[in-house]
Amino acid sequence: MTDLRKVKLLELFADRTVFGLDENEAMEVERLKKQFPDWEQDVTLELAAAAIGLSNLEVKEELPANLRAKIFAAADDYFQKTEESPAALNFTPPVRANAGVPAKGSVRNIVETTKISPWQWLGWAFAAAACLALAITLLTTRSNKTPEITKMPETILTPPPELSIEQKLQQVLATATDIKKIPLTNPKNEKEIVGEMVWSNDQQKGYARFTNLPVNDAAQETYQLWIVDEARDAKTPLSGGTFNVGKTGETVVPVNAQLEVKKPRAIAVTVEKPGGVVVSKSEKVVAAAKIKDFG
Amino acid sequence: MGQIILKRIAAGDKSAVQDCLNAYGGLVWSLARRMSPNADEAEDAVQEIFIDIWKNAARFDEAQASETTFVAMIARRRLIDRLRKANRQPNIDSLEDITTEPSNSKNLDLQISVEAKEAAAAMKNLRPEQRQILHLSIVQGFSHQEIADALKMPLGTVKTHARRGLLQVREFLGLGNSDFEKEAAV
Repeated sequence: MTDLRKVKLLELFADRTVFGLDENEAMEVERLKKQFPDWEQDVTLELAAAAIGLSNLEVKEELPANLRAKIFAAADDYFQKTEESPAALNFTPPVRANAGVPAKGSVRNIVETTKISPWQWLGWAFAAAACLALAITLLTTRSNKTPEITKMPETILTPPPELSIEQKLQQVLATATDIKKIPLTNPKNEKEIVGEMVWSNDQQKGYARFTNLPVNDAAQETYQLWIVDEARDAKTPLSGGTFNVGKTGETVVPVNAQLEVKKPRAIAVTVEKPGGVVVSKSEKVVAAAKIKDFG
Repeated sequence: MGQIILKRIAAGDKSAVQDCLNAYGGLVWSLARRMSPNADEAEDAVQEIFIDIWKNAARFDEAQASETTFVAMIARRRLIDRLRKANRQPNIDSLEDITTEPSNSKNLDLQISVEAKEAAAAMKNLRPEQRQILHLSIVQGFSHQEIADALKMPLGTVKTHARRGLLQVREFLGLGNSDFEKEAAV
């Protein structure tokens, strides 16, 4: 016998997908979904509608460059926030207090920040020895019976820790065959080296390392990296992304070029308003470099 | 095109943003232009859509659909939401377009994703009124009331055609689950 509540929910899902729902209909969906939680995450109707939309779509133009730059700036903010707080990623399951299981991506932070006393180390050593003894006992006494538990609980299947920027830089250095190391100098004094940019045209990846770039107030201003590409209009260099310097000393940042870099001819780092700009007035240039033999 | 961009985004790989924009920037922009009243609105929408894409990247299931279709789904969701909140009309050249049959576009974009190609085939198998109403609503972005007025059709009939047509397309794409299929005869 047909469950009329399911029929109604399916109708509402279809209406929502095609036309959207008014307030009352939306409330009814919420009410019915509680009765059929299996349908909660179903997106098959939306995917079908999306496919219909695509079947008649003409992609005539690329994303405008200024809009692309804005999205890159938004990406900086978004990924910075998610790095600071993985919970900001909607899909990260919440971790209960004292659950004893680190959140995804948080392993490295715990290792870096947790101080363990020698007595705690001793405790861990005993625990490890006990585990080893238990394992040996199990190995020597096990029967041929297959253990019932064949899968580790999902909660401890944490992904490998994210590589640090320094590690990513080393990865590019190790894998790219067209690496170019570009010294960045103070534009007011070309003999003063303020950093170095590493760039691979093949991989379209690069990193910039700065020494003693002044700490900036991210609420007031940001650093923005620019690449002058001979293959493009020299008056509108490509943004290589924005970054902030939170501490004195060395800073390594990834270069996030908005478009493909073909023939890089110069690099510049400017100070801009938070979020960066699409076109820089180059009023405050803190680092620059010319590239003679690349691309 | 590799189908790994969203997984990299979900893993927090910021470098995947560039690949994401290269792969889907034009697509999202085109969808936004089609379903926004002007370029400024489209720009705002595109920015929101990409943030939605990053937030939802982990929900992408490659067994269910291609990345392209998933991205289009996220984009469509946001665009409809914006249209509805502002109670605005999508961008169309002429209201007379509303009663014309969808053209069989011969452009390369039929190949934009596997599902898109299949959806085009599925649409051809629908009854004319179902196909027309889905085209007007999904492709053109018209409301059920506008379609009912233009086609001089009762509101309920418009909705019924849309539901049945959409369910058939979903079935053709192999996306329906068994529970849904049992109730498909609405």
